[in-house]
Amino acid sequence: MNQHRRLAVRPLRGHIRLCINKTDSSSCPFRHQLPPTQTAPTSHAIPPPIDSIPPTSAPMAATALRDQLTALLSSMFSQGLVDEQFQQLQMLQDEGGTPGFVSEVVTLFCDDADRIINEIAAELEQPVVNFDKVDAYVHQLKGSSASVGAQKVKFTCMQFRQFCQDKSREGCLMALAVVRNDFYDLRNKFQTMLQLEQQIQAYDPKQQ
Amino acid sequence: MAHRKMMRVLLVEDEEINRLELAQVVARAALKAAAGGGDDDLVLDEAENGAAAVQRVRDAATAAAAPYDLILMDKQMPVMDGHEATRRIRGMGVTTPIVAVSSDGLPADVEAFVAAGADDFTSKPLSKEKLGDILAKFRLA
Repeated sequence: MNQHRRLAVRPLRGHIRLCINKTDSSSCPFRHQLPPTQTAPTSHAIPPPIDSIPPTSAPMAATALRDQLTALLSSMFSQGLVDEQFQQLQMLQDEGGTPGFVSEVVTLFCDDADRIINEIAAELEQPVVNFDKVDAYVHQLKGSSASVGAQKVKFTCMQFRQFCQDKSREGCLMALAVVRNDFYDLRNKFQTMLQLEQQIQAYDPKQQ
Repeated sequence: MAHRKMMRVLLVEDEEINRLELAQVVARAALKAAAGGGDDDLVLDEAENGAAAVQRVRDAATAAAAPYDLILMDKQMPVMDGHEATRRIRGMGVTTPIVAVSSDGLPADVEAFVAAGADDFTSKPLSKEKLGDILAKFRLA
């Protein structure tokens, strides 16, 4: 199916600094939205709903959320979960791109990766494994990971492909466990990130 | 440099996530071109495989619509890959710049694309800086 977009070029809204390895979280106008079906993981503390906070506490709560988001993004970079490609995506959105662009890309990635990992697992359960098929799936996952800047998942996929070429079921099962773990870890972080951004946006709607 | 009212780009890519990102990059590059006195509007068509791209180009050639200014072509796609699509588009006599955008950047891959008729090759991911260079090279910025 072909698609057709007509994009009216919009003026720059100003250069936005990225919140990486910074303590000044006030410069982080993220504008993403959490898809309604996603839930926050339990590994990160999320502040209470905005309507339960007194109006006078709202600025403090927003600052706390931004600090939390800054810390989360910094940890994602320092742990190697994401790389500069993810920064590029943030910059594209922040420099006047489509609002919700990063959220859309992240959600697409999570859906794709989840589906591909399940396909790989199903193929590796077959009595006779088609390693070319597994390799094609891993190649696809590597591409999606590279697109979103999911560095750790991408590197694991590169190692995974070697096991495919060696036609090693044991190696592939081991690599599958690693890539699944890497992906779940990243997905949890992405979900927390999107939820924090949604809450920050709710405090400061003019950032939309 | 002449001021053009519109730039028409065909984006050929099977992965939705890549199409989404490329569309943003192209829009940003077009914005920069507009700021520099270039295009002030962008029409971005998308094709999910090579066959759809060939059809798009054929439609543009036969319709009253202006031809494409630039085609960004992925390599690995279902139905028809980027090499074959490039060959067929050139076979139609279309001279629009075709730039291959692929994660397979080995010399053999680049040569295969050029042999098929591509004008240039760039590796994924396509950044706005890389696209800016491409637009400048083909005098679209």
